[in-house]
Amino acid sequence: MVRVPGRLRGLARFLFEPPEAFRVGPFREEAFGGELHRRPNVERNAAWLGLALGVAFTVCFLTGVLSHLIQDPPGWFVWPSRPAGLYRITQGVHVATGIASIPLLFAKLWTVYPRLWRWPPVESVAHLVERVSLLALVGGSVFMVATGLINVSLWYPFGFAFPGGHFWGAWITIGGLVVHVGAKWGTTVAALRRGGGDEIASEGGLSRRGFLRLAFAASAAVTAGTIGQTVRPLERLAVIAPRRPSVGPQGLPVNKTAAEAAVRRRASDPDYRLGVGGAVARPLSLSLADLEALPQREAVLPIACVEGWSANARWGGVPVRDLLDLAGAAPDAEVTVESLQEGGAYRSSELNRGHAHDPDTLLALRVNGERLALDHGFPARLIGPNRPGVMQTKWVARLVVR
Amino acid sequence: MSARPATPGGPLFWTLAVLGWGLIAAGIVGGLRNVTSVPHWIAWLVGGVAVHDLVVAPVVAGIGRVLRRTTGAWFRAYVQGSLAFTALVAAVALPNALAFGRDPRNPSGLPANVWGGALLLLLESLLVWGLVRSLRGLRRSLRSA
Repeated sequence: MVRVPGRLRGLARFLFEPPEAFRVGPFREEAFGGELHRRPNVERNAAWLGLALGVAFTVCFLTGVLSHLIQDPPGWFVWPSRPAGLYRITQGVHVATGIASIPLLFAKLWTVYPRLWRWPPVESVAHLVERVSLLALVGGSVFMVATGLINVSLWYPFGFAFPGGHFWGAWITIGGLVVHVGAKWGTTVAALRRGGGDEIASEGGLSRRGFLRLAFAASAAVTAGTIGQTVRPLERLAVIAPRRPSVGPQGLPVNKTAAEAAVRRRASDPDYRLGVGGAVARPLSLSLADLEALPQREAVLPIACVEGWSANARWGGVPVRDLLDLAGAAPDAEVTVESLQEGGAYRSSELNRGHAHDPDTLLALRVNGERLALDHGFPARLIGPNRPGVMQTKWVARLVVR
Repeated sequence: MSARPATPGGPLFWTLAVLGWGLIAAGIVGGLRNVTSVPHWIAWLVGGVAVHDLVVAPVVAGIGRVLRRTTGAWFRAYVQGSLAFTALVAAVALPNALAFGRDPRNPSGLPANVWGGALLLLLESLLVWGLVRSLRGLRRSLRSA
C-alpha cells in the first residue's frame, strides 16, 4: 500500500522523461534533424507562416460566411443589389485566398510537424486544451483546403453536400485558429521581433529564410496560375485553373448544362410559357414571342460563380420589375424564381425587394447580342447584379410573387 | 537537448480558448445537425489530418533525411528547394490535372491541359527565380564597385 504512490511516481517519471533507449522513431529528440527543425528556425518560420495563414483563413472565413448568408439569408440579413460586382470580388477573393493558403499551410505543417511527437505530449491543463484544439485546427484546415480545391475542380466525391460540410467545417477551423492565436501570441510576437538568426544552413541545405521565401513564392505562383479565372486580363496566365472566363458557349463558362439538369426537352418546347403568379392582381402566361415583344433592356453584368470564376457579359431581356408591374404586384414584392428543372438544390432562387426592383435584374433572353444558348438558360434566365451564379436561375418557368 | 517550447497560459489564452472552443462546438453541433451525411463529413475531417500526419508528412521528412545523406552540400539547397516548390505547386494543380470532374457534355469545365500548365508554371517560376537572383547579384556587384 505504501509503495504504490512511489511506483506511480516512477511510472509518471518514466512516461514524462523516458530514458533515451525508449525514445524511438519520431519521439527521438533529433528524429527530424536538420537546420529547419532547430527551435529558433521553427519558431520564426512558424510565426511568419502562422501570421500569413491567420490573415488568409480569416479572410476566407468572413467571405465564406458572407456567401452562405447571401445564399441562405436569415431574416435579419439583406444583401443589396449594388455594387453590381461586389459578390464577384468577395467570392473571387475567397477562392483565391484559399488557393494561396495551400502552400503556406503545408509549409507550416512541415515546419511544426516534429512537435506532434513531443514528449510528454501534455504538460498542463492549458496545454491539453491547446493540443486538443490543434486537432480541430489542423483537421479543419486540411479539410477546408482539400474539399474547397476538389470542389472547384468540379469533382464531388465527398458523400455529403459540399456547401453545408464546408460551412460547418469553417467554424471548427476558425475556432481552432482562435485558440491557437491565444496559445502562440507570445511566442509569435517574440519570434517576429527577434532578429533573423540561423539564416545560412550550416549543413548546406535550405536556409530558414530560403524555406520561407520558397513557401511564399509557391503561394504567389499558384495564385498567378489560377487568378486569371476571375481576372479576365490575366486569363492567359490561368494555366492550372479549372476555368477560363472566355471558354464556353457564347464565350462564357457554364456550370450546369441543360443535359445535366435534364431540361433539354422542356426548354426546347415551342409551347414554352413563362408564368407570373402568386400575390399579383393579373397572373401572366407569356410565350417567348410575348417576352420578346415587351420593352427590352441591356445590362453588362458578371456571372460570378461560387467556385471562384467570373465573367462579364452583355445581357438583354425584360426587367423583372416591368413584369411585376405588368402583373400588378405590390411595390415591395419579393419573388421566387423557379426553373424548369424538376429537382436539385438550385432549381429556384429568391429575389429580395432590392434585387426584384433593380432595373438591371433581367429575365434575360439574349447574351452578347445572341439568343441564349440552351446551356446558358434558353429560353429565359434570371440575371441580376451582385448575385452568386447559383442564384441566377436558368431555364425560368415561373415567377412566384410574395 | 533543445529547450522545450513554451506552454500556453494567462488571461489572453484562456479568453481566446473559451471563445475558440465555443466556435469549435458551434461547428461540430451545426455540422451534426445540418450536414447531409455526417459519417462522410467526419471521415473527411479526421481522414484529412490522418493522411497528412501519418502519410504525407512522414514521406516529406523521409525524403528530407535521404537528401541530407545523399546530396552534396553545395547543391543540396537547390534540390530541396526544387522538390518542395514542385510539391507545393503540384498539390494545388493535381485535382485539376487529374480532371475527375471533367464532363464531356460541358467543354467549359476543366478546358485546359493542366499537366502542361503546371509544367509551364514551374518553368516560369524558375525563370522568375533566375531573374531575381541575377538582379540581386547585379545590385550587389554594383554596390561593391
